Amino acid sequence: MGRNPTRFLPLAPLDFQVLTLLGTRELHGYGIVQAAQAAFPAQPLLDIGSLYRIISRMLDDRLIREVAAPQDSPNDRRTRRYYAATELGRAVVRAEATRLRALLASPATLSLLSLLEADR
Amino acid sequence: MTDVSTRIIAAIIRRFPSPFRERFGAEMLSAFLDQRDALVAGSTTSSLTLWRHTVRTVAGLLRALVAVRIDQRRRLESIDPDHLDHHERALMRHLASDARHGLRALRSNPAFTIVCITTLALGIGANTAVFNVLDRVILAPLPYHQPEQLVRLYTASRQAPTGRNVSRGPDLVEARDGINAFSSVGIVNLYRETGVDLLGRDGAPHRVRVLPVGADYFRTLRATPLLGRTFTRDEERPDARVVILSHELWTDFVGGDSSIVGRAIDMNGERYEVVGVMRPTFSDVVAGEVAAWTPQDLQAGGSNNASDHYLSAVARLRPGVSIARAQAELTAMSARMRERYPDGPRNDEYLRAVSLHDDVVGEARSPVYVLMGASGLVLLIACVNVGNLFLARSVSQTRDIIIRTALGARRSRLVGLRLTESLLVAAAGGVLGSIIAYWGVRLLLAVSPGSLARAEEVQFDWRLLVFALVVTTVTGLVFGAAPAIRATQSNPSDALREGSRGNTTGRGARHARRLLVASQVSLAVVLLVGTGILIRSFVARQHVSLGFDPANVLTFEVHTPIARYGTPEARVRFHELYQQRLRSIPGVRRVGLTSWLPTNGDYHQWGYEYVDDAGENRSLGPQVRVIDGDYFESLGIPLITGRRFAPTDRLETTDVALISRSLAKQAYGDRDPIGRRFETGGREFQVVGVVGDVANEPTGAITDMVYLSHAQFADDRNWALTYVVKTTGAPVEIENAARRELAQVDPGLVVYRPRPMEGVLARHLARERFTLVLMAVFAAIALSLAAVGVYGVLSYAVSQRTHEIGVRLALGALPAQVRRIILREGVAIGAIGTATGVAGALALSGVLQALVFGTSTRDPLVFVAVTLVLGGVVLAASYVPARRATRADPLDALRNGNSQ
Repeated sequence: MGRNPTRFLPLAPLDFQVLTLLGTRELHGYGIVQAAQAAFPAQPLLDIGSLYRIISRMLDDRLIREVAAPQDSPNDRRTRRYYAATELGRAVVRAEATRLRALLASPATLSLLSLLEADR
Repeated sequence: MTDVSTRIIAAIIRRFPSPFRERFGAEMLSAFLDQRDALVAGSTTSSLTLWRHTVRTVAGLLRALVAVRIDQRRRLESIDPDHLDHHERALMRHLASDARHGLRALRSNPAFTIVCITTLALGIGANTAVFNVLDRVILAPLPYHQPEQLVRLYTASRQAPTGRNVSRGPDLVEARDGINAFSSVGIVNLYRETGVDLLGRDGAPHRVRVLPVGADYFRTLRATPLLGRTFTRDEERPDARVVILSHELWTDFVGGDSSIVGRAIDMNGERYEVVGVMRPTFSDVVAGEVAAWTPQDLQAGGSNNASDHYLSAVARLRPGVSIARAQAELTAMSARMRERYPDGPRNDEYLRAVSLHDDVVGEARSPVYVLMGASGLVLLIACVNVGNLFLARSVSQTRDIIIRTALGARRSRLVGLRLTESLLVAAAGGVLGSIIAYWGVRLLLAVSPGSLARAEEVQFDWRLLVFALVVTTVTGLVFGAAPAIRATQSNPSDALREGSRGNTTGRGARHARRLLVASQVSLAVVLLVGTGILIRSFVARQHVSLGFDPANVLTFEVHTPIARYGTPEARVRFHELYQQRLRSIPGVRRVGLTSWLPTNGDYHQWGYEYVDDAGENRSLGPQVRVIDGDYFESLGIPLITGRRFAPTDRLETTDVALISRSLAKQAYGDRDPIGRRFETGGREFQVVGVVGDVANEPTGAITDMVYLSHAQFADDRNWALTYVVKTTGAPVEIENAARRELAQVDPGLVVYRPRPMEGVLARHLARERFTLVLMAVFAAIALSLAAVGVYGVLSYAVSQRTHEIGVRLALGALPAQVRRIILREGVAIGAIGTATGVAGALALSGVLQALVFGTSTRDPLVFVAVTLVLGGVVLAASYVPARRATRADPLDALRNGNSQ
């Protein structure tokens, strides 16, 4: 089985958000939700149900992995596991971002956007 | 509050399949709690926000739960088909067994099941059908791009702020260029005479509607042509001879030839260059069926002077601009226009913007809303009825439930069992109801010919099934849940004890059932009162005095194209010739003509300038009609004093007029109006006669009326005249003869829109009849359901009290006494229901106000009649079980009473 990142493209919008965030930081579940709200305010809200479905799938696909909790993690009885993107995960999200940029920069998209702008 | 929401979340997390749950369950709960703590820490957070957070999380978890289960199933099926999650299998087993149990229970009692399903099907079907019409006619947007931006422009005045009059050319041209709130304004001339007679491909002439429009008309509606172009502003001249064809005209008359653009076609004897063809999807909701469009003359002067009101307009608001802002600009504009035209006739008038959607839907709104409410009541009654039946059955099943509870069945399982049963019934009712709805929609359309705006757009679609599904599910839950919860709530030991004595079983349930039936009765009263008031209004309207006799009268229009009938003499000669020919048809008694039929509303409202006895100049605003031939005789309008028009009243003789009785009274009081002079339409006339008043509106409302003779007034314009032919037999029988004779006089003309006068009136009444028929159907359903309810409750009471009745009879009670006990119960239910129903109907009486004519919405006669009808029905429904009670053999009753 090849480990070709393009195999995972295109990413669903929520997957893209999660993987982007975990590509730069190690976060636990609620941390991801918080970071997503801050980083992608205009995007649909990430809820806990969807989040853990995505985490489960990405763990299975080896796009992310579990990491040790950092020192400053609050110490109470709640379970908080931390996740970070794997090399493959980072490659996938980079490939997706490149794909999106190419899509948006295409002359067809630009002319449509300028038409919409003019309509307004 | 912590604990309720946390418990809910935890409970859902427990439903996730085990591998997922073990891996992430604790984390998910932690994440939820973390998130909530953050919310709590926020200073502005209310408990509402916390609940919203919980609800959102629940929704997300449920979605994920389904998705995870599906993922897992897919994976398991591909690996090992037998490896089903334990819980999942149990759940599937429960569902399947519930459904099987439910089906078995329903099959074992077919009468119960059939009654339930039929009742629900009627309720669901009626609602779905009415909703469909409501949706299409009222809620659906207009078939244009961004229809919410479209407004209709009318002329209103300070005295009549809700006026919907036609407007002056200069006002609309100013609005088009001077109102910032509008991105474009489509001016349109909706005047009726704008049609042409076209030679069809069948060789016969057909009259089609041609709509003169300003250049921006299509742009305002965001309609682009299929071929060619739309009009330019240079073409808004009287001598422009260009035309845009509708798709229909293009295919029917031109044969769909695309090379037609740039070529000329013949219209009314003149050559018009075809510049465009519209798309088949373009429908003109403002004007109705339009076959072609020509440019409207908008040059200043001529008919576009400061006093000629004849144009209309549709405007498009700029994005984000409200109607109120546009109205403010329009009102400001009227001041500007007053300065520019200081001697305009009515100086307090201004343009008024109305949402185009509201304008098109207009009066159809109230009846459909009333019907929606009525069908909702029927559904509610149906739910109550079925709930009642279920409740009755749940009482007899109490022991079954108790035994199951004793054997360890969980309450949730028992409620689930009942709900499955009620949902099965609701589903069957929903399927049957959808079939009823499908035919119901057709029936609604069949009984509402043309009475509902945009009714031609109504058709059955999928959203309707979704609506039916939602109604069905809600219905099933509503009538199923209460009995189910009740059945499992009772303390088993109490219930067992109660159940052991046949005569007191489920006292609580009996009260509940009486209450349900009483509420059914009250809902039925509301519907019956509504129907009764509509019937009274309908009868009142049919007996309204119109001032003329519509029986045996055929009406049709004949339009004389200006190209061939350019002179007044030619038009007068044509109409005289054709009248003579019509009179020669066997069965024709009288032939007359008019510019506008009575009961069709306002048409030409002109000034009536006269000098009163004190020498003061006075002015009135009557309706003016141009007539010819035996118009008054054809419609049986009486001559009160003076004379009618005579053949000696010609173009060249003194201008004479007849006036209506109300106008004579208004202008001259009790003095003789004959010989008086007045001015209208820029000419002076002498009153030679007074005729009876006729209804100007279908409601019987009369208006002051001036009649001018066409033979004398034909030089004013090319009048569009409607023939009014009094016949000895059925008016339709002479239709073909009228066509034949017209072809003899001029084969290029058309007998346009032939209709009996009674048909013209029926059209006005159609909407009322439509509402009435449906209300009557709903009320009948409600009444029979209420009767069934009363009967059911009392029969059940009798069977439950067999033991008691047996004892009473054995102790020497007379049958009449026993009967009275049962009847008293029925009467009590009926009385409570009727009283609350009457109160409810009084409270709701305002709803009908818009639909009612000539009667009060609180008509005491209707309330008394409804009370009597219901009283009779309740008594009849109670009598049967009461009689059955006294027929019981005391010995049997005593022996079997316990085993009930």
